[in-house]
Amino acid sequence: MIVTRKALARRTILKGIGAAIGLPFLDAMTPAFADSQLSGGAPVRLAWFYAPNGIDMRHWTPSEEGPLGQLPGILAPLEPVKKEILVLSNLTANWGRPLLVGAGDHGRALAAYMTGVQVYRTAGADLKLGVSADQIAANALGHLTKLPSLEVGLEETRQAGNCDNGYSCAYAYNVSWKTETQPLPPISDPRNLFERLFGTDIVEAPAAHARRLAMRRSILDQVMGDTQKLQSKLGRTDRRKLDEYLTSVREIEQQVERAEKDGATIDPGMEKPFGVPPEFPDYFRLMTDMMLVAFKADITRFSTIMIGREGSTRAYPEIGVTDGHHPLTHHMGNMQMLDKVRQINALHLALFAEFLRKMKNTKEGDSNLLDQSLIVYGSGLSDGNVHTHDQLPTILAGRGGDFVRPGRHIVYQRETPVANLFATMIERVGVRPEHVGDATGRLAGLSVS
Amino acid sequence: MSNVSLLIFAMAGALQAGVPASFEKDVVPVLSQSCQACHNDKLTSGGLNLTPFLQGSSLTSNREGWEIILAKLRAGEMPPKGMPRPPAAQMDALLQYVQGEFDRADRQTKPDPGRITAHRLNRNEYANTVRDLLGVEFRAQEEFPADDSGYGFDNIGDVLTVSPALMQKYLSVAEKIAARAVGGDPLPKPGLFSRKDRVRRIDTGTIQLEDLIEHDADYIVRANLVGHRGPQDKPVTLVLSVDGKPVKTVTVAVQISAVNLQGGATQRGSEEVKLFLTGGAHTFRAEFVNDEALKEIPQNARMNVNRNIYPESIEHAGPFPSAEPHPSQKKVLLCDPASGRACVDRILTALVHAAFRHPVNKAELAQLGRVFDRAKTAGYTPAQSLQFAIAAILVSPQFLFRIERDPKAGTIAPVTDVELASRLSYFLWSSMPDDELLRLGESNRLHVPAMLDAQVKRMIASPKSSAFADNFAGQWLEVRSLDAMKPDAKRFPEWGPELKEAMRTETRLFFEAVMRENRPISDFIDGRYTFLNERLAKHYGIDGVTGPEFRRVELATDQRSGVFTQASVLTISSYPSRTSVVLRGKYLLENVLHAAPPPPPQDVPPLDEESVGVAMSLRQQMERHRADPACASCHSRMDVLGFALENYDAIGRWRTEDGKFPVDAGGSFPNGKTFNGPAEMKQLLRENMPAFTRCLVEKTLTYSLGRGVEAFDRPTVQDVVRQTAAHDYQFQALILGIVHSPPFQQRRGELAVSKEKPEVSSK
Amino acid sequence: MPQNPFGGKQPIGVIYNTSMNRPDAALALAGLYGFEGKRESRMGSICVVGAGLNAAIFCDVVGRFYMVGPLRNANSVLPVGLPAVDPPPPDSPMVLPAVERKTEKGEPQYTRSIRKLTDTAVPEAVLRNGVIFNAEAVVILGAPATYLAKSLDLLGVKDIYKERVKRLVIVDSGARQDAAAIRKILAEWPTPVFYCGKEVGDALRFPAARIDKDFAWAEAHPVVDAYRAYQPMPYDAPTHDLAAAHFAVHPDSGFFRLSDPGSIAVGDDGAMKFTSGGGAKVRSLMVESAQQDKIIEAFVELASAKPVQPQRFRKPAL
Repeated sequence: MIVTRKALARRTILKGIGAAIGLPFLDAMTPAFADSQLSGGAPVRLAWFYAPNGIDMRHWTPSEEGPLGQLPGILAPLEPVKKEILVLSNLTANWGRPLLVGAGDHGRALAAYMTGVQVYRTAGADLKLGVSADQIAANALGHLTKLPSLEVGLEETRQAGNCDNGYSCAYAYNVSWKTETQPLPPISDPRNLFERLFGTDIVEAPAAHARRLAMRRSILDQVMGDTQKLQSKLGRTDRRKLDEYLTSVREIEQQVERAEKDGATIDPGMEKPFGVPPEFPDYFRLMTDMMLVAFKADITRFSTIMIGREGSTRAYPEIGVTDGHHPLTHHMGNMQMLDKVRQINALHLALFAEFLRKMKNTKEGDSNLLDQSLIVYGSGLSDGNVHTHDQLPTILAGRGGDFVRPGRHIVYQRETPVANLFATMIERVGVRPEHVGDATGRLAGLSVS
Repeated sequence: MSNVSLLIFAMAGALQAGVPASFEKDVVPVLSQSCQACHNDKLTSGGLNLTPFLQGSSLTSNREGWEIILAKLRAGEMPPKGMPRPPAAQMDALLQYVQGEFDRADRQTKPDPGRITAHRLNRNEYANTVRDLLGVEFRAQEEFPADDSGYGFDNIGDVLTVSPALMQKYLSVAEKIAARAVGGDPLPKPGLFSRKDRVRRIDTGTIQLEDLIEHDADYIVRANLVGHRGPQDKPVTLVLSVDGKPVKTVTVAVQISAVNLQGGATQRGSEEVKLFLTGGAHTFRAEFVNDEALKEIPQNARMNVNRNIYPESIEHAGPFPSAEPHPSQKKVLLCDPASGRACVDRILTALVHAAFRHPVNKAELAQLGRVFDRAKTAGYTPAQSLQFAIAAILVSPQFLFRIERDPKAGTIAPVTDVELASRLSYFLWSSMPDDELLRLGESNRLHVPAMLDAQVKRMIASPKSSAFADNFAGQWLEVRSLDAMKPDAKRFPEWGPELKEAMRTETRLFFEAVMRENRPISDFIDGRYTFLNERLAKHYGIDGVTGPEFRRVELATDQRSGVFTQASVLTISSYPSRTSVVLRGKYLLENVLHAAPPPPPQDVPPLDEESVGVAMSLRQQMERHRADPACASCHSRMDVLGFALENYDAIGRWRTEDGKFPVDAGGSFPNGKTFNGPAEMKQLLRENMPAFTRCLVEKTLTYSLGRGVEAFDRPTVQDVVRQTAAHDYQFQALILGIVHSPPFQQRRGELAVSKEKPEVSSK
Repeated sequence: MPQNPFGGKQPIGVIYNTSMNRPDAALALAGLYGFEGKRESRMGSICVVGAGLNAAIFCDVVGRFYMVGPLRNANSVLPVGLPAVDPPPPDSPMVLPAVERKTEKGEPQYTRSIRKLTDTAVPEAVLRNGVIFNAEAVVILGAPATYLAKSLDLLGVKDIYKERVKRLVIVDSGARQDAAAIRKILAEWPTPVFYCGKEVGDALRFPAARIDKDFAWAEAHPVVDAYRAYQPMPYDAPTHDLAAAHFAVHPDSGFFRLSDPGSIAVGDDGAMKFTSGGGAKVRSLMVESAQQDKIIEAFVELASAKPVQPQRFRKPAL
């Protein structure tokens, strides 16, 4: 499984986790892009950071439209990178709203965010949603990279019991959906993320590795044959389950084939992480550093990362917030609680800013990784206290390969679907589906022109 | 209320009036006189318009709505306080009549056992199955992402999906597991892994290291000690343990050696043990136990190497080849695979049969043989080639999924005995059927009621049924959420992994006792015993329990009884820094009374619990909150239950004061019954055993089937509730009731036409 | 049909496309809030097409005028739709007095949440979302069909309209339609379509005297301000949109007869003409002339109703 054609010094990557070191060693990675979507340029990467439980918008929305001046409280950590971001106001995720169904705003907020469709209310049977924007892109272009897409999560533990008022936990825990019925659970364990990116068998002689890959492929071939035979005897629902399985087997087989073509195993040059760092900031850095490597080495071009599940009750003792995030967002105007929520939001953004700086400092040709990317930071809720799903907090970072002119605050008309932004992003990488969720069109005003 | 009493009431009502019961006579007058003032075409309080319910046909056309109305009337919540109520006899007659009609309707409806979707093994089931199949202990929590859950459980077939990331994992894990089972891969050269940076100091004399072991092999685990005490000090006992189990206990001298003394060098020493470790994460611990002498050393000198000796670091070295075959090799390698294909076939035949949990045909076996051959041709050793064949089993859909064959579309048929064996084993063991179960299934004897009963009893008695406690009770009681809890370290410095694990263990052991000893399920409410170790007993203020082992403790006071006043439950139903009567009340409604309250309406400002204890007591705040009628309808039910638990703080300790206010744990139910304190509240819950039983039956049925309980399951739930009641509410009667029920034993074929598009409406 | 399973049926949602440049449009707004007060319908969404920002502000002002109780958010009340075109179409002078009216202290007489274009909503989104907000809806097209036609092409919208929109009422006040858009609507609209011709509104004139008398309960009323501003009083305005709104919510009122199915011919200049027969399924509204006085009385009563506290509507549970 080759990531790069150039050898890297061992144990360099990610060594300095915690410090904003800019990962200069990554410049050694020069992936041979499987294609070139853009004339003479590297591909555009898309990423989505999902922040749970909404934002206190009074300390988020810049007072003026146009060039970004002094950033409001929560956005203040982005001050050093404000030339790299757009703040987009007034976007809506309509299907997150209660509509006729009533409560369950958290489950719906996440599920509807990137799919832009109605969230069929079920605690289990007949799970039904839509294809999320990242997966529309991955389904079209994923074959160009080792992994069609990457789903990352920063919350290990799960709540037992019911999730949100009759909505299955699948809705509250998964932002990426490959099909209407298949969520893609985020990887939250650092080691598992490492292994997903770099494989489990890192150091093996080329011949031995080739032999192993051939065996793997033959096992997968056989499994596919078995499954097809089995499916012919099953009812519709069961067949659908096995279809999902088969699709996944096929994808892994393609991955194996690609690895066979690419030749030897590689050494990703970093030590395999173990366990979840006890401090949230370190956890965030570790996972996003790996995401950065995945982008830089062209292991994948599309990634989502959930900073927490929707309705996350995580406490942040690292910054002195010992109450759970979700209970705090139901602050009912209590100043102390509001203040704590703002601290949490600001922590997330400080870490996001750090990630953006690392992306900016990672060279790619004449450009850098951030300029080659479009990165959304957003939430499916604005006011977490009363669960509003319009006027959402949204940041778009990066230039998407000279596509975006950042450094501004753009205010759209109300009810502008947030899917319009996603549609614009995936169109930028060359995917033009007929529909992207409930998008009504492309988002104007992002471009240089 | 039992059927018999229903009948008597119904007859009494009918006799009294001299005319047969009817909708017009028994239902309409009550609704129109006592209810319709607030629930009519114009004024639809609570979203309810009763006009359609004045038609007898509504009993069938809107059963759902009627069930809600019945529940409200039965609980005495409606008409609300302050509104005139109809005479009790009239209300009873209405309840009898409507329930009677429902029962009649249920008897007449064609029974529907429902269907269970092809069920991917969840990560716990996967790990247990691998353990029982290959003898490989494997920690799925570390390898697989958490499974999504539905209906409160993570074994719901409809929700368990296979993403590409998971498939990649299945493939790599299959190879690893196969290699561990067979041990055919050469080990890499051993190395020393010094883990100074990862060692966590628990206290002066205790350090802990969590680390990943790469291979199934022998390893040397070493604790490095540093420092010394005075020449008069006595030796201390060092215990090295792995995953909580002591692996070496040794006496360590604490004086400085003559050489070191003379040379002025820091005293260092180490103790080590060589042992077999499985690949995966392990917790290593080095601890001075019963170190009384430590107390003599001042706090600020305890880390001074000239005043004290303490464990400094833990490291491990390996892998070294194991001296003898490890347990899984013994289990899997029935013969030497190098001896030829006959042996390989023998091994694979046994494995694939067990792994697929049904008889296997020749073609399937031949395919696995071909994997072996291909690997061998490619140059792998016979043992390694066998590993590939085993890996192929582990990624097969027949291993990863529980698939049942469908009867003809729309028809109902019993599941086969072989399928029944898997239903049973994944219900009670979260694992594959063992030989006995599978054999009974394959000889079609398992469904025979007496046999089934005997098997269920055997399964419950087996230690494997701990999985039921872990997975079912862990989710029903939400104790699994303990891992997500982060009580405020400032307010609760005693919180830590040990206390957390003790809480979890108590609840698990308690549940197991109710299950294995076939206690009445009312023990969950107020059983006067529990299981404690020293740490937890101290937490509870109970004397006479020493040491880390758990033992049964009879409870002498009213402070604790049953599961809902265990620290685990009290902690997970609290906020990190304080208790919440709302959360606790909601917890009890959901998990005891099966009456989840609806979420607050959009435009109602939620309670300001934060200012509690500052200006107003919590109760004062809540009373004010409840003055708003829109809040009162739910909070009146929810909060009273929560208040009854106010005698426990956010990590479950008994208290009589909250901040500066004395705890007032009294309240009244909507029907007017009052209580004071947790014991009396539990007494009232006990008086409502049918409601609790129904709750537990529905939860257990959901878990046992891996699907949600649907409207057509109502008769089944009723039946099991009745049977359980008839057996003095014994827990095993409940389990047997479910095992014998149609949904557990039968299956409906799926209709070929796709169901209508899911409706947009609410449920 | 999606509705409260507990029996309480929700009021039907009204999606109102308006140019808000004639008194009948202002009266229609008042009438629709009158229905809302009686819980016979609720405002699903308002979309201003063919007018500018002040028309949208006027709609918002009227909505806030009828709102009692705490400020509702976009989970329950959608912002007003307005196309972002440059330059914007001119506003009718009718809307300005209410928008600009000040109290004695110099503060705006009427509260509002719209001040600038970005406080208004994307028209096709708000039309669709308005339908999604309601289990059952009706659509009144009293403005160019441009954005309603656009909304038809959005993902799943035809299915949602088909499932939920009981009827579309096209108002013909003599104003020009967007020819291509209205043709698309007529060809693709998935549910029954009704035509409220110019003669309907012309026949049912709102009595000027009633503006003074029946609205007297309000010291200041934005709809009255608009009525007075449209042309010198007294005048009896036609009630095109109000009539269409009444029929949309209460098709069985007996106020109107329906023609045999027919079709609407659309000229390239956007003029509409209804003809019976021809295989199409549009029905045209005709005033029951015997009822004329009763209808007008009903319109007056409806439009002059006072604001009503909304009922809290929540789902019951076990």
